[in-house]
Amino acid sequence: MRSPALAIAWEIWHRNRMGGVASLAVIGTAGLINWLVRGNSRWAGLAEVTGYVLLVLALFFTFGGFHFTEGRRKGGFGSFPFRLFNMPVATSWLVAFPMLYGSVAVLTIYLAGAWLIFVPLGKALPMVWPCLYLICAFTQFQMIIWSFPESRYLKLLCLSLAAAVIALGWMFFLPHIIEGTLSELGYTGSPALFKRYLFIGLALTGPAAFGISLYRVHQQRHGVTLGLRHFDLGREWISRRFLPRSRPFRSGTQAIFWQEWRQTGSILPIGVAAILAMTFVPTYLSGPLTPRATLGVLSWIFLSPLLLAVIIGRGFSKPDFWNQELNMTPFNAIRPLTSGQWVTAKLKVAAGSVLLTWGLVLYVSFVWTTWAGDFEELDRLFQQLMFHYSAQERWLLPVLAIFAVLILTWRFMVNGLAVGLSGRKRWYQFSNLLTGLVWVTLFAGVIWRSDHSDHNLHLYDVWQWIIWLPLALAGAVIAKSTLAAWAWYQVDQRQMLSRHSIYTYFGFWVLATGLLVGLVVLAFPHTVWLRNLLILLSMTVVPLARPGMAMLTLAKNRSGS
Amino acid sequence: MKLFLALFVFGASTLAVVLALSASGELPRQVPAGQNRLRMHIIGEGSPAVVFDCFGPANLEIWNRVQPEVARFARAVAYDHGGYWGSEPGPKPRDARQIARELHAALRNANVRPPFILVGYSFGGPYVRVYAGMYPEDVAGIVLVDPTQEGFMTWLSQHYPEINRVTEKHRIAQDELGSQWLSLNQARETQLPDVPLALITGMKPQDMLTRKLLPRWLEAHRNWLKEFPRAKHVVTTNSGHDVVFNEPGLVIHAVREMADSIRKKE
Repeated sequence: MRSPALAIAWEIWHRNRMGGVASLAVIGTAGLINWLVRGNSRWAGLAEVTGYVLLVLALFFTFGGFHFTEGRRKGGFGSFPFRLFNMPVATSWLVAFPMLYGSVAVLTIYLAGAWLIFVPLGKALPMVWPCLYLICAFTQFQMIIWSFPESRYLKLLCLSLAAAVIALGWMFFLPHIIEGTLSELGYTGSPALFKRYLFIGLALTGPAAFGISLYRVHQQRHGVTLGLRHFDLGREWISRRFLPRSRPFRSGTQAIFWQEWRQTGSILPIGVAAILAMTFVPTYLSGPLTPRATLGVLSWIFLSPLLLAVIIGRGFSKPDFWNQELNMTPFNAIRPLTSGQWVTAKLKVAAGSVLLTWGLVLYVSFVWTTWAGDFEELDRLFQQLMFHYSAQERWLLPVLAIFAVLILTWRFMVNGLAVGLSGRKRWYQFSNLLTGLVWVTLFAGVIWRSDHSDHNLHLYDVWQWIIWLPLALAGAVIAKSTLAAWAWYQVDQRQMLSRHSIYTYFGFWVLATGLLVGLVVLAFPHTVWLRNLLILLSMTVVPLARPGMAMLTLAKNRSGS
Repeated sequence: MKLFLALFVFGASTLAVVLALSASGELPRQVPAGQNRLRMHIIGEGSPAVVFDCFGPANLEIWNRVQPEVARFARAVAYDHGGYWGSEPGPKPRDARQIARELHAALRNANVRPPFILVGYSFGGPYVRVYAGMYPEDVAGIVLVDPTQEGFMTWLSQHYPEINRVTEKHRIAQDELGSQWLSLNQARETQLPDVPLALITGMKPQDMLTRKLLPRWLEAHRNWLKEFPRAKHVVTTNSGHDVVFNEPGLVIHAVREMADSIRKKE
């Protein structure tokens, strides 16, 4: 290599060239399809949503490609690639090149998407603020992944918070949000002035991120560490102080449960607690909230455990949350426990984590709403419930809804166990891509429909597909139960779990599914087609085949096959 | 274990198939209605057929406490208006006459033969009146369930203009909300055929505002009914405007009574 700039560029390109080319190819193909269907109003809506989904996925992938670190501890949660410190280059250049390349890459993806995907649809995407926003988001991302090599928890927390802010922050550039939502949150200044402040903020964050990164990478290059490890130690101290363990374990199962709990049990509650603090403290200090703002804040809070469970669940499904390596370490693989017991411990840890999280959310939300919220909008919702449901039903519905969100959160946590414990990286990456695709599609679809408010009452364009839903769902239930029977039969034959435990899990499945069905029947007692569709959907929600499959794949992983 | 798992698969699969078949059978279908297709739910057998109507933004499922019961003694039809829920958008303006034309075409294409008992709830009241005026030979009876009444709406717009939900956007879009005054005027001009008529008024106040408005609401219904001395007026204090949800039995009873009297005449 002739220069360090080329060397770094080559390394990043070499690692991600397939993905980079694939991203541009996908955008190009979507652009070509949109060009072919341009002017066809029937396809325009679908093409627009698909365009957003592909653009967001390509941007995600680009961010991931620039996760430019080197694992110093337990795999991937490392620091700036320390072997680059040997290069005869100033630290400022070491920091600047990846940031510059990354910024150029995300801008290329955005501009390619805006031009190739949306111009054929006659839609002109804004240019200035999204470009600035993407550069800002990217530099913040680089700053976080380089700045906290001492504390993986702090890094994860900062990444989660930054992701939440980045995922929602762009909405504050939309004119109707500036004019509508801000006034509801108590902002009384002019929208133009607010937008100017936003631009100034964006312009400052890039240099600030570079400065902080430079400072931290410089310290790492000179072997200086900060006391940030105390953050992890603090968590350890809390675990030891409040969950002490002085007696020997009664069984191997109990020991493995304890190990899993200490390793991953507190991640979801800590993440949600951070979101609660980040949401409730500023809204409490900002003074009285409007009824709609109260409802908005509560909706976000109730949604956050579900969304976080989707993300954290991807890591939870691996043998070690903090390790990018999916193969079971020999130390763990030879433990005198069956794979069935190991997976059961993980399922129980996820359940405990979910219970703790929702307990926290419900308690803090109740206190916050009582102190700082406005009940008017909640009261209006209750009045609407009164329109359709009796007094007993009105009380039973929220109780069942709480059980439903507990089950859903737990499902998201344990959903990927069969793939994550298999030790197959390709499967794991594909499963993550699929999950990302589903969620981004859902997100883009919801935003698109809310942007076209009159479309909220439209089902006519999808009705021909809805007609096939009962058969599709019935097929899914049959496939699921058949696969579950096969998996659990194998588990039983290989004596991975006692029969009593297998029957207990089936009992739990029936109970959890029954609670979901109860909610559906109570909510839609008279609309037979909708009720039956949702009952079928409920039968697919609670994992049945996956835990059995997870036991089988883990056994293969442990044996190294 | 083998037997347990086999039984489980058999039980879950059977349940899934039964639920899917039942859902498929109950799923409303899209029926051609001229330039668009309307989502219609048609169940039961027996003449006269009963056709349920309401304001566009409300879907056909609002009738699901009434329609299955009515289907025990007559053919019962509920549908979505064009442009809402499962029905494709139709020509504009979306006034009562256009709604009636589409319903008429859809009923014919769905092979639902007259005579009909028209049941109009809320703003469905003016709609079924306009339908009855346009196709009098199809109509054997009318049941109005807490219907919107043009006299009351005029009074409301003068005394409580802030309640008005019609925005410039609706007017430009010429959707049902934007065309509501056009529809009300069409209802006012309609000459109803000489068929049995029943009207149910919900008088239970749901908040402070309805407490003030309800006497006017009742008065508007009574004034309008003066033109139809043989009409039956039922006033309930157990329900407000939610009578279809809260007291479906009242609607079912009114429809049954009317169907029986029509059958006796035949």
